[in-house]
Amino acid sequence: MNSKLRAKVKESVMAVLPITLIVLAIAVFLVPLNIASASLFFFGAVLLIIGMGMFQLGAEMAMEPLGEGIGVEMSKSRHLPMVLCVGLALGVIITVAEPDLQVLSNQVPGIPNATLIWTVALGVGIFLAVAILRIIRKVNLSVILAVLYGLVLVLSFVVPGDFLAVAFDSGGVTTGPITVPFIMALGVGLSSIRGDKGAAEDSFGLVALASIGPILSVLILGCFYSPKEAVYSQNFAEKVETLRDLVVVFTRELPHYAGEVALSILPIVAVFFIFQLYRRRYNRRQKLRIAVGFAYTYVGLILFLSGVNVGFAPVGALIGSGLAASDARWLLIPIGMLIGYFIVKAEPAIQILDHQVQTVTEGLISAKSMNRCLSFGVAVSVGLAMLRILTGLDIRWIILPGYVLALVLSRLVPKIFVGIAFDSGGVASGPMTSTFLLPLCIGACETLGGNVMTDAFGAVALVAMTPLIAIQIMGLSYRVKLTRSAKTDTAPVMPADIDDIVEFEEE
Amino acid sequence: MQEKNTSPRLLMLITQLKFSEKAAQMLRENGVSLLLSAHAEGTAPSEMLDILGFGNTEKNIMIAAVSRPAAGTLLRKLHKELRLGTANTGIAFTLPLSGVSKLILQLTENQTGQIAPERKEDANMTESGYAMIAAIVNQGFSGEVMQAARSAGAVGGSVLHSRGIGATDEVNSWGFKLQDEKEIVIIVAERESKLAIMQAIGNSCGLQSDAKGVVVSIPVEDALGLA
Repeated sequence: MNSKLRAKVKESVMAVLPITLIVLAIAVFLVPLNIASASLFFFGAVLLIIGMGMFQLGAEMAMEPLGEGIGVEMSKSRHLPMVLCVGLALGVIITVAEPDLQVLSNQVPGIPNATLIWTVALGVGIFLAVAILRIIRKVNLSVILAVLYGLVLVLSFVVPGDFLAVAFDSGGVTTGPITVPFIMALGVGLSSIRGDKGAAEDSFGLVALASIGPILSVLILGCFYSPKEAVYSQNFAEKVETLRDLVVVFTRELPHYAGEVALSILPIVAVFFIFQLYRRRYNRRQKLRIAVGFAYTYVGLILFLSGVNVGFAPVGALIGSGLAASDARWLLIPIGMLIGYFIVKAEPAIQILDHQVQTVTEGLISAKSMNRCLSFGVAVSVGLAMLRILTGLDIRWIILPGYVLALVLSRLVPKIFVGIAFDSGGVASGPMTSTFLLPLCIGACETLGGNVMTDAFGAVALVAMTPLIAIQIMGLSYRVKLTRSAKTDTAPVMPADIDDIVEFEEE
Repeated sequence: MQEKNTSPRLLMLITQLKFSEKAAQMLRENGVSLLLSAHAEGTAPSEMLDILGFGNTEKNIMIAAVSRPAAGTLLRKLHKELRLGTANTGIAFTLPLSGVSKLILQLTENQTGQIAPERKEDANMTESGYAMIAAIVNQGFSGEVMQAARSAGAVGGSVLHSRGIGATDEVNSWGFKLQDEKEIVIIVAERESKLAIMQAIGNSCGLQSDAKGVVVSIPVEDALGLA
């Protein structure tokens, strides 16, 4: 088999298999699943593996060269207002069509859908422009983050509690699998042709700022509209008895997601055409590659989303309510943490982040250590989410100290870790979190009779927060290691002629 | 200070990612300090595979200075213990150096003490039959370079992404130094076909084309994993 294909298959199997096995183990030992849900689940897992592989390949072939290209052309430009306008427009265009945003807008009925969608899109656009301006004006990322999150924290006391969890969730939700690879590549492109020292660390931080946009805009809307109630919709396991039912369920869902994904990918395809028309950056071969890459991304995401929505979401809800109904409901916490540990790997955009970090840092921060760090982070966040469901703890008690800690750390760790950490928050909370983890929490919460809006929601926000801390702790330990080795290694005494050049005869 | 027998060699390894760590470990164990390590891409075997996205593989290029006697032993050891040079692993070769900083000379001098200077010919090691060709072209043209090179008999190559530096610094309006994106295509080929390959690249991707390419070649001393 072709070695590239083999590598991709292996990568996506390794990403999806662990979470599948965990759920299988839970289904066998703790919460019995009927054959119908189980068969949907396994078929979903197969779709997930295929979809994941195609998506990764497609993002690598299409999103990365496109984002990088636009970034490079932006930094070549001499016209600042123009660059900022393009940044703003890009942010709005890629967000407005994000399918997750439609779901979010339905969950917040107090605000008209169109108002919410456009406000969030504008939020992403403005903050993407701010992120670009930050790179150009060489403002320290942690300063901007401190100001913006400070604002978020202040606003969080003004809006009603019901609303708060949804607002924080929106930050993680709107930076979805299509926007993340594109924005990340944009950052790499913006700094790739610069010859100065800050170039590598400036590659990151765009997703970080872009995901504050939605939080702030939803919070501000919350102040104006003062929504009283919020509702949610939930998937229940389909009635599947025969193989034909199984096929019917998926053939019904596939066209639905085909339309949804088309809607979210078309704006980026349009951006590609306009960009190529004006700049003629790509030659014939590159254009073909990008076109094929878009096709892979499209098909891959359809398969992934159908798999996760039809196969994983109902099982998540069943496991959640099953565990909550059992005598040992405290099991929710360790099992939630176990699921959290393995679920990050199956987020489609995570591999892309890991890979980009590894490439930009030339292997200094390896994909493996990124993965481990994110897994620990998300495990803790799911544990906390379950704790909230069991105890009804106000989300402010976790989110506020968490962000304060993250902001304090951002002053202490090497700069590049700040960008990577705050980026990974938006990346870690993708479709897997919102379609498997969230139903799990809702299922558990309903069974326990808690308030779904305040207790179950907010799980996404926690998943988006803990990576900030986990990755910065990695940065801190890295720095400690560096200073320690600098102390113990007394520099060897160099002879004075060390820089002399020795020449050899040509042979 | 012109001692011909102590002239160090530049050892280059172009390997699949998973082998690069093992190889680096082995070099360290043998007292060789790595000078540079960089990410590279392997080129696609055909244009169709490239467009379909199944072509390029991730690779790692490592460069170290080694003493001449140590070079042969190291190559043999890499082949024997890591199976470097077999399919899907990578290649290694040495290039002569005509001048170095004194520090590098001192570093490599120590190696002769640790590694016995045995230089016997091995079936897997070929001497002097190869040359390293490097083509430096504009961003996006590595595919065209490989297409031309293949038509003249080259088997494969690796691409490094880099930045070009012109005669004058171009500074944009907000004060960043800007450098054009370039791609460096490295091809190791037999000496007999070297000229034809270079000429083919020059014809299709030379300075008169959009690729704005220049081509150079360096003689390879010992090689592993070729032919």
